[in-house]
Amino acid sequence: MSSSAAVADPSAARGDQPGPASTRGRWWHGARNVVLAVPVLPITILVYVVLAATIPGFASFGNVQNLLGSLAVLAIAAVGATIVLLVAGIDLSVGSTIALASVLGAIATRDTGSMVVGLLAALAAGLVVGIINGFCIGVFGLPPFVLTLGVLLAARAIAYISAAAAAGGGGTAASVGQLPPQVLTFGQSTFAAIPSAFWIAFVLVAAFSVFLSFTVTGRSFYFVGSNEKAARFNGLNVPVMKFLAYAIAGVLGGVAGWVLMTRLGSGNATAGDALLLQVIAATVIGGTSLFGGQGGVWRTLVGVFLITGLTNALGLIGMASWNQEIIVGAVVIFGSGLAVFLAKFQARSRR
Amino acid sequence: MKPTHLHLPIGVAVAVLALTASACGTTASPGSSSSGGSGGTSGTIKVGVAFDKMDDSFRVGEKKYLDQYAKQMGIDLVYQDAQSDAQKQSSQVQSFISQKVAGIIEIPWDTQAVAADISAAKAANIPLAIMDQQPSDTSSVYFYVGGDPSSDGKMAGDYLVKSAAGKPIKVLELQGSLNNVNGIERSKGFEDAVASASNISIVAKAPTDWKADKALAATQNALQSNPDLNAVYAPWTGALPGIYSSLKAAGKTAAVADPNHVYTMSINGDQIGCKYVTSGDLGVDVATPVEEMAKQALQAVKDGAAGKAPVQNVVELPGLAYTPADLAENRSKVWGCQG
Amino acid sequence: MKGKLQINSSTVLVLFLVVVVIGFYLAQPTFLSFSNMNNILIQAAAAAIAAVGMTFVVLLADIDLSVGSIMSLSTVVAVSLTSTGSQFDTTTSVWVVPVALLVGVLCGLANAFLINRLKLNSLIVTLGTTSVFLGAALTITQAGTLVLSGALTDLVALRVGAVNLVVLVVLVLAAAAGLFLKYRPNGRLIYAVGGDLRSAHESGLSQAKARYLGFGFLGACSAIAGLITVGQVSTIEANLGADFAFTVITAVVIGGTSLFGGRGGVLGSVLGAVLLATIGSGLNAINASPYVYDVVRGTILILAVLADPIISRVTSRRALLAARHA
Repeated sequence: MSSSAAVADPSAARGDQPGPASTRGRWWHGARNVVLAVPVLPITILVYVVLAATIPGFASFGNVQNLLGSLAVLAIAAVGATIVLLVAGIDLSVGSTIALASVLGAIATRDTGSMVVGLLAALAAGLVVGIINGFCIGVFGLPPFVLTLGVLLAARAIAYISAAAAAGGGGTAASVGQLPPQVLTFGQSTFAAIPSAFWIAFVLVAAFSVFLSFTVTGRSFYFVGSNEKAARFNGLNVPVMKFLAYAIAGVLGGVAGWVLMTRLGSGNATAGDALLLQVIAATVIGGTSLFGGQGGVWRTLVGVFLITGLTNALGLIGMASWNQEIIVGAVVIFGSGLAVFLAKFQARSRR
Repeated sequence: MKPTHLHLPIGVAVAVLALTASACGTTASPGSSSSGGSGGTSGTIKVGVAFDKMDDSFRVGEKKYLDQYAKQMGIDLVYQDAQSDAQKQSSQVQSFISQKVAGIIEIPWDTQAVAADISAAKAANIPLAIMDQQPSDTSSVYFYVGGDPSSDGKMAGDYLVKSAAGKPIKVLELQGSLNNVNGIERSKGFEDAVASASNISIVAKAPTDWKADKALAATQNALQSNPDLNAVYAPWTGALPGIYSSLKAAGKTAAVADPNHVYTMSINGDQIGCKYVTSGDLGVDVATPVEEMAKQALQAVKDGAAGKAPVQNVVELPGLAYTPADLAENRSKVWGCQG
Repeated sequence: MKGKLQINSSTVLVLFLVVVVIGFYLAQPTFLSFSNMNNILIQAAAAAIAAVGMTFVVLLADIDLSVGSIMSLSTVVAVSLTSTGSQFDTTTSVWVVPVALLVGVLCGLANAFLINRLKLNSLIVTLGTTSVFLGAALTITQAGTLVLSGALTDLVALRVGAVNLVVLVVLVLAAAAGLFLKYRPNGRLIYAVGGDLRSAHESGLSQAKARYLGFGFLGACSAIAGLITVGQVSTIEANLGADFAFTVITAVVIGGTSLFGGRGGVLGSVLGAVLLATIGSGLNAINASPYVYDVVRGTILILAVLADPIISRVTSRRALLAARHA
């Protein structure tokens, strides 16, 4: 690690890396540090073990496959949310972006018969939303909560209007179907027994993890989030960084919307409604801070696993959905509390 | 660079692979004891029911009849609630399929996406009966049973045409959720029925998303813009209490014989509808055959599990329009008036 | 000085409101009538009252997403405990009001407790409590619908002269809350905590106390909003508050209260709620497509947020000039 990069190296601010000396060599030292840095991982593994042992059918092949496939959309969206949170922002419009992207992607796929065109349409939709968010928040400095709230409302309305228009004849349907069969074939396909949708999510998580940790731009996100003034002082273009964060989140929302479309074989304007809660919950439980500067995409993925595994298991035992709500809500609150506490504890113990 | 950097992703990857590997190991046994396997307890079969949502009084009614008839037919039901999310529902149906249930009953949230569920169930050789919300493409359904929302709306409209008997009518048409096939059809059916009557004009139309407070606001606003409004069409009975309180506040509570009477029409046939027809406030309520729907859906999966195919695979059951005048004879056929 | 800030963004709001009303009047002449204005105020009442409560929380630089669920839980518990009759013929008694208020306050205090003790951001805590409270409400009603009559529905329909009781409640509550914020030490504490946390910290446990006050008050307001809504539609469905939080937050933001805390007031929030209800009613009157309302709401929010820094720059310049001339 070059010392000349001390200025741009946000590792101290990032707080997710222990000092170098203790990690070289023994793998279990590394494992211990991982556990300390990302406490949610062993907790999640433990939870899964308990669930597999106590809930019949949870660890069955079919259920695992189902679980991996269904968490893909959430995972992709959560990667975008993580990046936005890193720069101390927030993006409430993620659910609407997914809806809009799935609808526009479906319309494009239906009308041209090409999945590639559909993907491009979905990406474009996500990009436009991301650019609007990024511009208003990054460049104009508008408060992220309110701005993305406004975009949430507007984007969803546009998704509904598009779906209705696509239904033709002045209809008002909310979903766009009649897509070419290869869409669903792809969406339900598996590769090495793992659903393709999950692979897409996994690859994106891996790619962005590399981006965030190994590239200068990626590491700058952490710096901007943890100390904006210092980042500016050190020559980082903060408005551009923020713009980039929201734009990336938008595009990832587009990808998530497209994946959703392939999973369902239709584009749905009502999609992503409950997703916002899950995205934020998974990201925070995973250990990414709402105040910026701390976190990562792998831990977010673990958070996603925790939340979806829990709801899947509760569903399997036939618990009424409203009781599930109570449990999930409690997990969100106490899980986040634990994550924040452990992060502070770890930061304090390193001093 | 930093060795620990790879530990986390490796940790996650290992965990995922371990999970999948352990799952592969348990493929042979489709779950232990109570879950999975088409055998339930002693001679009963296990059927999965995938509701699109459950926080709705109509669904509560559907569940009641499903439970009642399932018990009679020796079927164990397991419910899943998709909470108005298409992906969740698809995942829940998948879950039923992987648990190898004897049959599945589904009320689809997304009538386009349900095609995926239909083909998945077919591939797994599990009978899938769709209920209440008609899929946009019924060509390959194993079985669909539902009401006939278009004819229900038409019956409500016909009632208005008949009762008005040439009198000039200004009607407020409340609409359900417009991105839902029942909402769309109930609206269309009504409009078609009154289109031919030149004395009836729809002066206000408001979508309400099946929400009572939106129906209330729409009624208040319509009364505002059209003080001589004298008919209200509510495609579901949940809107009625609010509507009647608005009418009362506007002083429009004249009885049927009175020329200032406000005609009200509704659909569902649940307890609220029965209540208002009994009191004479509601002119007509079209009872959807919830009991019959539940019974037929259960019968279809039961037959399918035994290898029999249903006689007809798309069944649209007409509703029963009942009014205060014929309440006595129709009472027993209306589900909301029972018990 | 705080008062001046408040009036300025509210002046813009009133102007906008007038423009909107005139616009709808031109499209539909019956729009501008006393009874319609009364209707709009009644339709705005629940959101307005919740917005008054939300103002307190937002002034603290916090947020509460659980208002809809508190609305739901407080009314469900209160009606279940204090009413007689069967599910489709529930007769409410006047006791439903204090019980609902109590439950609402408890929920609000629970929110504040979790935020204080767990040292978590209010966003994530109230995100969680939204699910918990709603789940509890649904468990109680088992997703059934209750049809109401009796004291509650009568109260809500009551008129005092030409104006509805509900509208009076809004006015009285808003006035009381506004005066409290301006003149009582606890009220000024709320501004202080939101505006400059460090100096507020120097006065001790102020933030925790201010949170109990703010969230508790919002809980009570949510309960009242719930009673009004339920009393008007005469039915209870546990998911009645589904979209409510966003409406209320929109009203508060449009009204000029800053999400960063320390600036704003209840007058703006009430006007914001009235503006939203006016637009909704107007769109209804011209039979507009339902999606238009959401697009309009989203756009207004964005415009309000764009205008906010401009307004604050204008008002602070004024204050600076005034201070200079003093």
